[in-house]
This record gives sequence, C-alpha cells and structure tokens, in this order.
Amino acid sequence: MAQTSVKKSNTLAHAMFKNRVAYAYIAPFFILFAVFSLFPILAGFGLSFYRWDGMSKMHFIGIENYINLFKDPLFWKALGNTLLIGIIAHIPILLGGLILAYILNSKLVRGENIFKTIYFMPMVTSSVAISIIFQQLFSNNYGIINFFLGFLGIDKVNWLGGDGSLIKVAIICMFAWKWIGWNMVIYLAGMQGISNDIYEAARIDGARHTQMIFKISIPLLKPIILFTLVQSTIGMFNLFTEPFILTGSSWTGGINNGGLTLMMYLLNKAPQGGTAYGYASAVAYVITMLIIIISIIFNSLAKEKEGKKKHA
Amino acid sequence: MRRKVGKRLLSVALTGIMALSVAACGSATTSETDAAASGNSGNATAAASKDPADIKGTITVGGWPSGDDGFKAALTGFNEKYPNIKVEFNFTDTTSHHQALATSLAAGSGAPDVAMVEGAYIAQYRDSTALVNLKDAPYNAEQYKDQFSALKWNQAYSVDGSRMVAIPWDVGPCTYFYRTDIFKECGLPTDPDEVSKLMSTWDGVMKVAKAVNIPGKRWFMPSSVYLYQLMFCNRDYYNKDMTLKLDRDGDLDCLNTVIEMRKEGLDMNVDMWSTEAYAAYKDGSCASVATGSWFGGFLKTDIDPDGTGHWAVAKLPGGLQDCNWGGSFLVIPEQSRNKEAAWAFVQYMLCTATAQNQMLQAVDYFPAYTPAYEDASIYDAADAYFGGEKTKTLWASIAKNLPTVFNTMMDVTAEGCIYSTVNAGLDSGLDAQGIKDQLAKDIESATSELKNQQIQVYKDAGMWDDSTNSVKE
Repeated sequence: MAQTSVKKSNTLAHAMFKNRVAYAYIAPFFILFAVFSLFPILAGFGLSFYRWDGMSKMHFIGIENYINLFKDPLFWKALGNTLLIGIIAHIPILLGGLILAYILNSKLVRGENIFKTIYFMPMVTSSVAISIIFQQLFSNNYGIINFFLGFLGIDKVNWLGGDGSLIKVAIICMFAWKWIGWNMVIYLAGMQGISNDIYEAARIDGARHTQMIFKISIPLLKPIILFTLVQSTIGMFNLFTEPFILTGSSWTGGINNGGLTLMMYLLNKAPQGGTAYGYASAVAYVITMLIIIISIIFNSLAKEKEGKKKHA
Repeated sequence: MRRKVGKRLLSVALTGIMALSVAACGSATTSETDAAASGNSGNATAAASKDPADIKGTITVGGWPSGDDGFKAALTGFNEKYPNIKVEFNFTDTTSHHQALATSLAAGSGAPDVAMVEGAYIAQYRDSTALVNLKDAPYNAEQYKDQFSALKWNQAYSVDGSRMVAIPWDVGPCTYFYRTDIFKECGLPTDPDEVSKLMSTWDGVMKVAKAVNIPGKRWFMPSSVYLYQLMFCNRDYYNKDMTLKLDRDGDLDCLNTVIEMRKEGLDMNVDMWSTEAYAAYKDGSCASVATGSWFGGFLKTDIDPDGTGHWAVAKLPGGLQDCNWGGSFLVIPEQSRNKEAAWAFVQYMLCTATAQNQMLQAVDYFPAYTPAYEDASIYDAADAYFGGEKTKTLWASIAKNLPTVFNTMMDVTAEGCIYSTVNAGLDSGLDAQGIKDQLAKDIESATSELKNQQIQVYKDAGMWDDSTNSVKE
C-alpha cells in the first residue's frame, strides 16, 4: 500500500524518464520552436508595450500603442478594406473551388492532374512577379483589360488610380485567383475521400443529383471547408504584396488609401515604411486577436450545425 | 541484446548532436565578434600612420544599384592605392537593403562593412549607436567638413551634434529632362536656356504641355503631381517644434497648374517610376520629366540607352526653386571586423575628386564633394547623350546653391502622402487650398506615431526643450 502512494507522486517524472529517448527525438523541434517561434511571439507581445525605433532606447509606454492604434482612422480604413476584400473574394474562392473540385471529381474532364497543377500554380508562384503582371493588365493607358473594354466600346477605366475605390476590384481578382486553386485541390481530396457507397445508397433511395450534392457532399466536406476558410482568412489578413505592388509601392494603399490592407498598415509602421516597432507589434497582436475571434466564430458555427442535426 | 544497446546509443548520440548543433550555431558568432572586437581596437589606432599596402582584409559593401556600377568604375584606382584590400559587393534593391541593414544593426551581426544609406532614410540612422562615430580618431571625418555640400553634410550628424555616422556621397540637383526631338516637332525651342525661359512661368508650362499633347498618344509628364512634390524635394517638411511646414512660395499657383493639367488630360496620370512611365520615356509617349540628376544615369544605362541626342536638361519649370532629390551616404557599422579597411574604402571613394568623378562618369551620381567640381575637363565637358549640352555645369551650379534643411524621421512618410492625397484631391475635384488642407490632415494622421518617436529621440539626447516644445538651439 505504501509503495503505490510513493509511485503516484513520481508518475510524471518517472514516465518522462522512462521515455527519455522519445523526448530526445522530439527535442530538436521544440528547441527550434522555442527559439524561433515561441520567443519571438512572447517578445513581440512585450514589445507592443514599448516605443522603440530599433536603434535607440526602448521606452515603456503601457497600452499607449493600442490606444493610438484604435484612435487612428487609417487603422479602421485598413480593417474595413481588408474585411471588404476578404468577404467579397471568399465568394468565388469557396464556390469556385467547390465547383471546380466537383467537375474534376466527376470525371467529366480528363487530365485531372494537369488541371490540378495549373490551378494550384498561383499559390506557389512569386507574388511579386504576379503582381507586376496584373499591374500591366489593369494599367490605365496601355492595360490589357482597358484594351478589351475598348472593343466593347467602354471608356478606359482607371483601375489603379481614379478615386482609389476600383483598386479593390483588382486586388479581389488577384486574391481570388490565387486561392481558388488551393481550395480546389483540398476540396477534391476531400470529395475523393467520400466513399462511393454513400452515393450508391442515396441513388437507390431515389435521391436526385442536386440532393446528393447538398445533402451528402457538402455536409461531409464541412470540416474541410472550415479548414480552408480559416486558411484563406489568415491569407486575407496577411494580404500585402499584391496591393503594395498594384499601388506602385505606396505604403498607404494608394489614392484615398483604397488599397490599404491591415498588413500594409502594419508594415508601414515598421519595419519597412517606418521604424515604430512597438506600435507595429501592437498592430500584429490586434490582427492575431482578430484571426482568433474569426476562427472561434467559424468553429462554433460548424459545431452548432452539427449539434442541431443530432437533436433533429 | 548488444545490437539493441548499440542502436539505442547511436540514436541518442545523433539526437544529442542535433541539439548541440542548434545551440552551437547561436554561440559561434558571438565568440567570433568578441575576438574581432579586441583585435580591431588595436588596428584602428594604428591606422593613421600605416602604409596603405599594410591595410589588408576583405570588406563587404552593401547597397543598391547603380551604386555597384559606380564603385566598380572607381575600383581600379582603389586597388592601386590599397592593393591588399579585397572588396565584395552585396547589392539588392533599396527597400530590401535598408530593411536588412536595420535588422542586422539591431541584431549585432550580418551587416556589411560599408553600407549605403539613402537620403530619405538618414534621419532614421543618424542617431544609431550601431554605426561608427566618424568624428573620432582615427577617422577624423570633420577634416572634410568644408569640402562637402552643406545640405548633405549636416544631415549626417546625430541630433545633439556629438556623433557623425555617415559621409555624404552624392547630391541630386533637380532639373527638367525633356525630349528635344518632340519639342522640335512641335515647333518649340530645344536649346536649354530658351526652354528654361519659356517655361519659367506656369502659363509657359501650360503652353508647352498643350503643344506636345496628342490625346491618347503623347503626354507632357507622367504625373503633374510631381510638379507640386518638387516644392518639397529638399525634404524640409517640419519646423523645429515638429509642426508641419507646408507653405511654399507660389504653391497655390503650382497646384492650380497641376489641377488644370490633369483636367485637360495633359499628363499620363501614372507614377513616374511605373513600368508604363518607363516605357513611355523610351518610346516618346512622354515628352519630359523633372527629377534629380541621377536620372541621367538611369536614362543612359537602363531606360533609354539608345536615346543619344534626343534628351536635354533645363532648369526646373514654373520658377521652382533649386532643390535636391535624394543623395546617399556611406556608413560603417560598429560590428564591422575591419573598420580600417572600411574607412579606407569610404575615404577613397567619397573624399577624393578622382574616385567621385569616375563614379560620376559611370552612373551620373553628382558628387557632394565640391573639390571634385574643379576638374574642368569633366564639368565643362559636353555630354554626347544630351546632345552636347554641358549638363554637369548646370548641375554643379544648382548643387552649390542648396540650403541646409531640418530633417526628421517623418519625412519619408510625409512625402509618400503627397502623391496619393493630391491625386485623390484631383479626382474628387478639390481646389488648390482644399488639396493643401487635405494633405496637411493626411500627413498628420500618417506620421503621428513617428512624430512621437522623433520627439523621444530628441528627449533621450537631451535636446528637447519642454518649455517651448521644440528642439533646443
């Protein structure tokens, strides 16, 4: 009896010692994680309470960075732009991804792998190179889009200039174009993972094609759709390269801040457009909180629907 | 049993080695720099009396093009004087270079031995203790004080004047670059003096703009907004109490011209650095552009290398004051392991007329080192690219006329606001005063945090007068 109580208090240490080889194997990752990820995450959070230009003394200013940031009209403009671009772009990203994945899955087209590669390429191609090409497409006087509009008899549109509102169209096009492929590949994998038995059973029960899509495919894809939603939401908050190059390397998002995204606002403060490192850190953590909040909302929406189903 | 033990020992040993190597990476650099630092201080004091051939080592020079072309043009002379110093170039684009420089200075390692710093960024670097104070022995940089353009020299001091971390390289006297072939075709004068006279008023500018304009095919300038931006070219945006200084003589007339030009479609409405504008400079869709002298180098090497004879240079239009656009510096990071060789490089390249003029010939970086102008064979020479015009005489006369200015960390951001705010104002039909007011508002909101930072720097240096809320005199 006495032996078991002694053993209990040493359980964790004892277990760790017993598995020390395993710990040694996973140690390298955790050491690297601690140095290159965990430390910067914590230090960055600490930095957001200071004022620092990277070269002189660090000055502790409490939550002044956060207060200034919420008072800054440019921050709200950036937030509004980012959400607007993200929400509108998500419609083609989700629908387009689903439709393309469905077409490829239904074996209507041959050369499935070729299409997968082509559609996925925008994700892995240099954003800078793509942005320069798109800048040409949307150019005012010699852009290709304006050229085709000319054929239709429409006046050339100043996409990248004007009053700054149309640049969001260009950014949405680029953002959607980039992420459709990624979503398509993931949905395709998900669809191929759905066993054909379910479809057969449904067909025997007399289900129509559309019913099969909406009542079987999509519900079963839900966790995957959720995953891609979170991914592209993070992508939306990180959106920087495309608007930056389209606005001609303007740190404030071009005319009337039309192309100002949250990440551009952050990088404008530091390290590229300025040297307000503490303030930029604060912006980074606000973005992090936004991503966490949105992810929680998505997750609870998904769970809610599942919960409803179980009760029904 | 023995095989199992052997395998386990091997696996533990391997993971141990992996863990150790990660730890070792971090410590290796610190031990190296410690050793170098102690060795270096010995080197530095002995430099003054050393024979140039005794200074040895390899140094890295970092910056952006066309700086490397400039250095390479003067490198033969440098190698003759300092045969044992090897120079490696590490060049990338301006933004990446400055970002890497700021990071490596903060981190304490990774910076080149000599780094270029652009004029726009100097206010961010001048107080950095991570850069060598060139006022000290053995550099004694102040021996050159009277030989450099006052505007650039003053920008290199820390806010309390106790440290000087940079040596100026070039100035960018602003001039008006125009296509002589297009002007001729439109019946306009092509001689630079006549062009300057014709365009000395805003009415004259409008006349020329209308003359060269072919709707949809040829425009006067990439963007009329730059005419207004030229009023702020010296980057003197702020007063010493950190209030914004936006008033300039004739600024409303200038803005009215900008408004009219945009309304009549006389400018391309594109950024002068965009791919569209670059193509237009070359194929003649754009008749002119006003910018710094280094643009001549860009034209010759990059934008329009076959354009010999159909470009010329005149003074700025509309009665705009002589001004300076840009102009870089060279700095030596404290972490450099061969400060002696680095200083030899900086001194040779920037403080000798020979090297400065060789770089001028190669890349049109106009020296901030005024004794270089005494070489009449260069400065009075005709430039074949510009149709035999004596461009350097013009630039030298402007360079000698530049005032000193008060730079701040907010300058770059303020400058960035001009293009976007004025264009927005033009699009929404604001009048000149309306544009100016909106610009003031936009600059204030974009620079609020940087202003706090700048004031803090002055406070740290004991240079901020709280009673008057301005910089101490």
